[in-house]
Amino acid sequence: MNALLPLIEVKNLKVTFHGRTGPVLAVDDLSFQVSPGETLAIVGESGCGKSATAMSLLRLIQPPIGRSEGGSILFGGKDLLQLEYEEMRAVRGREIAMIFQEPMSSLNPVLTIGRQLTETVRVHADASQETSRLRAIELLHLVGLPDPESQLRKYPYELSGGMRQRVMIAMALINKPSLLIADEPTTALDVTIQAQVLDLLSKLQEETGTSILLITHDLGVVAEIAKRVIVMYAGRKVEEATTIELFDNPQHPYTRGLMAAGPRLGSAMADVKKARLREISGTVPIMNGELVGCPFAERCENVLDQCRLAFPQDTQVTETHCVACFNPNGAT
Amino acid sequence: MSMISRIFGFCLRYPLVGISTLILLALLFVSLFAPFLWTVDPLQISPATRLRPPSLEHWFGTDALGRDIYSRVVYGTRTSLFIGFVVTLVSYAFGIAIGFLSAFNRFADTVLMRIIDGVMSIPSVLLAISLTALAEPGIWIVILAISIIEIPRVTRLVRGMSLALRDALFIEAAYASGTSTWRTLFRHILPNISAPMFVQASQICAQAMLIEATLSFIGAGVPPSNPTWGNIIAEGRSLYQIAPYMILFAAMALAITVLAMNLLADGLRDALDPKLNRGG
Repeated sequence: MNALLPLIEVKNLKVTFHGRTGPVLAVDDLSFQVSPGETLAIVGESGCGKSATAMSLLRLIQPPIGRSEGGSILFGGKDLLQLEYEEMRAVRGREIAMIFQEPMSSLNPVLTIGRQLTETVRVHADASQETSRLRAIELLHLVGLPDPESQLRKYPYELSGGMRQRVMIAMALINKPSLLIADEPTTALDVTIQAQVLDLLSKLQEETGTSILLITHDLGVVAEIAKRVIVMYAGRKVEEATTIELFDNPQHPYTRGLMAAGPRLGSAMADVKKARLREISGTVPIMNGELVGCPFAERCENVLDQCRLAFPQDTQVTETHCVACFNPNGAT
Repeated sequence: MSMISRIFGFCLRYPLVGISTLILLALLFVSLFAPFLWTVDPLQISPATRLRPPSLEHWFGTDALGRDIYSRVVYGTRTSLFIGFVVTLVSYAFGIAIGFLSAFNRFADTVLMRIIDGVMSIPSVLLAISLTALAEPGIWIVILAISIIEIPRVTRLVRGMSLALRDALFIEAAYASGTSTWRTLFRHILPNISAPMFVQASQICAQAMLIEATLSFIGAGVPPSNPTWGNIIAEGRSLYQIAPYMILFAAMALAITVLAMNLLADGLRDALDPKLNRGG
């Protein structure tokens, strides 16, 4: 496969939610692409449109809750936003699969693991009970659950959080999707299990060649498995770079703020009690259409007058690194 | 063999379910094999042997027209169970359909729920009486009337539970993996609400038999030519001081059946909870 040809290409995506007080713009003019076999991470704090992006790729945001208003999502030569319901249904789970944040509640509590896995196969293929059962065992084996055959008879409550997330991953991969959307796959898990699940994801990616779109707020997770990163703020892409570039040379003040907000081994740790993590003051503004200019302006330490007048265009830093900021270097 | 031992083990773990199922199976047996259980024609009038107390010849005695009460009670089992089961089936078929529709379609919800509210606001027996008055008396109009009373209760249950589940993450996950709405309803939501539904179904079945008895008792139910426990009691009511056995046996049959149904409901509630299910 041609590695230069993107697997999925999102152009100028716009997603609005219908709130009580009027429409809220959750994703605004977002463009990105994912190449085959690549892991792209979307980072940002709560409410900045990461999950809305993920959901709209599968067209799970439907009226009356909200809708995707503009742009296109090109996948396999089709624009997903233009597909008929049945065509879209065939894409979901078979070509683009998704794993959710909460492994505790994303499995059906009254169906056995086996039933849920085979059900996912049979939604898309006219497979017999036996074929789909074998496929389920194969996948449980692949995600590293011990004794897959006996796991099939278990109910979700009998499994731990980490095991459930493995089941979710198995379920997502059972139809061999070419894109896996992982929406905060490790947020609800404790740290040791997080590492295991991340390892598993990258191992599976090598084995199956699936692209992964990773949604997270945890830069540690990004560093672990992503090759490229998009930083989102208030529904906008503010910075895009390879993981190495982003960590070496963060450009956008928001990205730097995110990085400063996490603890660093070796730096402040010497005087743990006095050291205070830096926070970004303020909150993400609600994008109800009244705001002009850069949404980060109110919280930004490098703010200029022009920041309040228009949203900055993307500026290329290097070929693989671009940032949307008028004043990344803090000139006054 | 393993099937039998599993059922046996299940009944030991949930004795309520075991006992009540046994009683209900016995009643089913009685209603299916009524003609072979030493009965005579339940409609056979014999003025010479009226109002006889229980004896070897007439186990439960005879009524004011000399009909054998034992035979009438046994045949009445048929009608009463039939009404109970058919009402349960009909009210669930409609209740699930309407409940799902209103849980997943806002417009339908507004319209359907107002209708349901309207039906629920009319006293149930009153509604049934007026419905049975509209048509020629018979078993089907009784079934229809009781079903109309019970449908709103099923609908409310199904709608309420589906609404709670509609936004559950695993339902979203089901959609995200390409499951159609139809399939999601029946493969994911229905199994989640089936436990309370079974519990309510046995209550509705019991309720239906009681309403039928009430209707027959006040003369708006199944005509006496088709014996039910309700109309047997109704016929015995004026003579109960001199012939209490006319009411006694039919009332006992009704009480035992309703009790068994309610016990079944109670036991099922425990047995169907997957978190308490110890590998049955």
